[in-house]
Amino acid sequence: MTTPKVSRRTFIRLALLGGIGAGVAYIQHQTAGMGMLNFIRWSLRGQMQWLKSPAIVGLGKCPTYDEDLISHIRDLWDISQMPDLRGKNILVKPNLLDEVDKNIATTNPRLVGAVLDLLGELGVSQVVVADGSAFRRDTYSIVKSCGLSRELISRDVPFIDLNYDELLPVKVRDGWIRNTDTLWLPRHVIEADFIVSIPKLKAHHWAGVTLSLKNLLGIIPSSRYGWPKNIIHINGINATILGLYQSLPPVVSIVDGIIGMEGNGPLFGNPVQHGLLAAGRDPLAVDIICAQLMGFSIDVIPHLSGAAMAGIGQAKKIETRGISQDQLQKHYEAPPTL
Amino acid sequence: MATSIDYLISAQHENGGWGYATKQKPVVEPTAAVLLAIRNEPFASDSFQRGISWLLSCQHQDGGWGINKDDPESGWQTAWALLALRHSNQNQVSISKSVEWLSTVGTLDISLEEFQKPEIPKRDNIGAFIWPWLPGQAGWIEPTAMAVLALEGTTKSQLADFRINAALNYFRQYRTADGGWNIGNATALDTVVIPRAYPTTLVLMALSRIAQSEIKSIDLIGLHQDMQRDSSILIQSSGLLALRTMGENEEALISSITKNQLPNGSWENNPFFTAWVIMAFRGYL
Repeated sequence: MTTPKVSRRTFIRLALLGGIGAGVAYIQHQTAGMGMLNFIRWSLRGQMQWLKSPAIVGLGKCPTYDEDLISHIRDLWDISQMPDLRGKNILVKPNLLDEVDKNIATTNPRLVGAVLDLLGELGVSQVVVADGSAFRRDTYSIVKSCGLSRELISRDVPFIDLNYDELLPVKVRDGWIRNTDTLWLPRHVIEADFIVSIPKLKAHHWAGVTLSLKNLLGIIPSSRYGWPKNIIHINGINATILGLYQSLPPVVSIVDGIIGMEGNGPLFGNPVQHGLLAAGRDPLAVDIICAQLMGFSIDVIPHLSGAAMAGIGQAKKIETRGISQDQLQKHYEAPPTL
Repeated sequence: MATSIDYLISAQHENGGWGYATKQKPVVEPTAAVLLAIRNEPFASDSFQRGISWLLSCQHQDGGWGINKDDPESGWQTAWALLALRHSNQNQVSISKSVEWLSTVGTLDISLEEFQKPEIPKRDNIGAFIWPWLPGQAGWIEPTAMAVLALEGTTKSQLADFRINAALNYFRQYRTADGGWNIGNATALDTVVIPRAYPTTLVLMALSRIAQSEIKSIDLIGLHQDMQRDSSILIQSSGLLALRTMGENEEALISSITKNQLPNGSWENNPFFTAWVIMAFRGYL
């Protein structure tokens, strides 16, 4: 009896097949939960960013909220290649998570006021300020306690509590929201031409940082999903941030980092006198630069590294303008989970 | 000045429900709250019946409710709808179906199918039995307290009794260090969390129905603490109702809320908030 011989060619074929199979199995394992097709599509889109223009992120230095904020914001807007908002319907989304014992968890109201003034100069058609608190049943109580109500009343700008806005179904996009094909979102959000995300620069005990993208979670209506935006506990906070962003009108960013928060954010961290203002039309690029200026690598912030991998914005080529990063670099205490 | 009931009648949507703002597209939660608020007002009886009809038109086949007719998924709003329907003295079939939905709604640990079996599922953690915002999710304070309020006093199953008892244990274990309750856990990543007025209000009212002796004086202190942080009408009025349920005299608070009433009889042109004020002034849910 002779042992059947495997020819060299057959061996190479079998080895190649085995290698491909092992590779597919590895990718399948690594992408469990997100789906291999999604992973491949996102990866390709991420790599395609190398072929696109760089994202512009404007950086400004502003030591206190007593400065001439409108001048700072105007300069920042001019250097950041922001879109033309003339005649557009704008929804301004500050961070109004909560205010506890005069902490610094919310976007500073004077900065929001300055942005509203700038939007007026830019000739927008309509503007509303809106958010839905994750913890409070009435977001307007935070608007009042943090002082934002004065800024809004003096400019006759309405506030919309997104937890109680009329809700409309929106098809989820890009594969990040699992187990449903529909997100219920506030009418004012869906009908906006642009969202201006004005986050407070903070470390965050779950997401790593809370910046332009994470700030968008306030849009999720608690009257549908529960407090605190309970879809994040089912779908995961990182995937929900990205899935929500992909289902929204275009978002531009202006980051309030004049006083940031380090450590146990988003509510109970410590203030950091940072003096940073940042802006851009690509929220991912803005958030990457801001996270780096806090001293964090995006590798440890899954929603930023995930967005970068998946090409949800430009992460490969970012050009900063204005004040140099060296002058704005800080080293924030990491949140307990980072 | 118009009365608050006049306002609620005028704010009713033409299809019979109420939204979170005047004439806004109706939603189950504010509709149910308004129905509870106007249920004993003779001159609002037509409005009440139209509201009940709208509510019934939104009930799903499974017995539950979503945010409104367009929302296909039943969720936490079912407890509000059941509370309102129980005062309509009719619609027993709808009530039975919603009691069944609320008793068997699945959690993160126990599915609907398992709850529907004859024997009560066995789990060591009480969290497996308490109520989620939406089916298949973890339990939270507010939907649990609302479910207890809605189910207590109905003709319910052994399972519902078991889950209400689990809720009682949950309330015991998740009390914050300052008394009262937050939205869920009493600590988060080793940080002690503060009591929140709204969930504390709902738990106090639920406990007053099922285990009055479990209420501690520290819970009222926790409630007062957060009512000082949050001056909104919703928090002041719902907190007032809880305090009055506990037998506290809160004349100053009543006076302060009254001052904020608008000429059209509403509070902030919001049917939901206005309904809470009416219930708080009257002294019962």
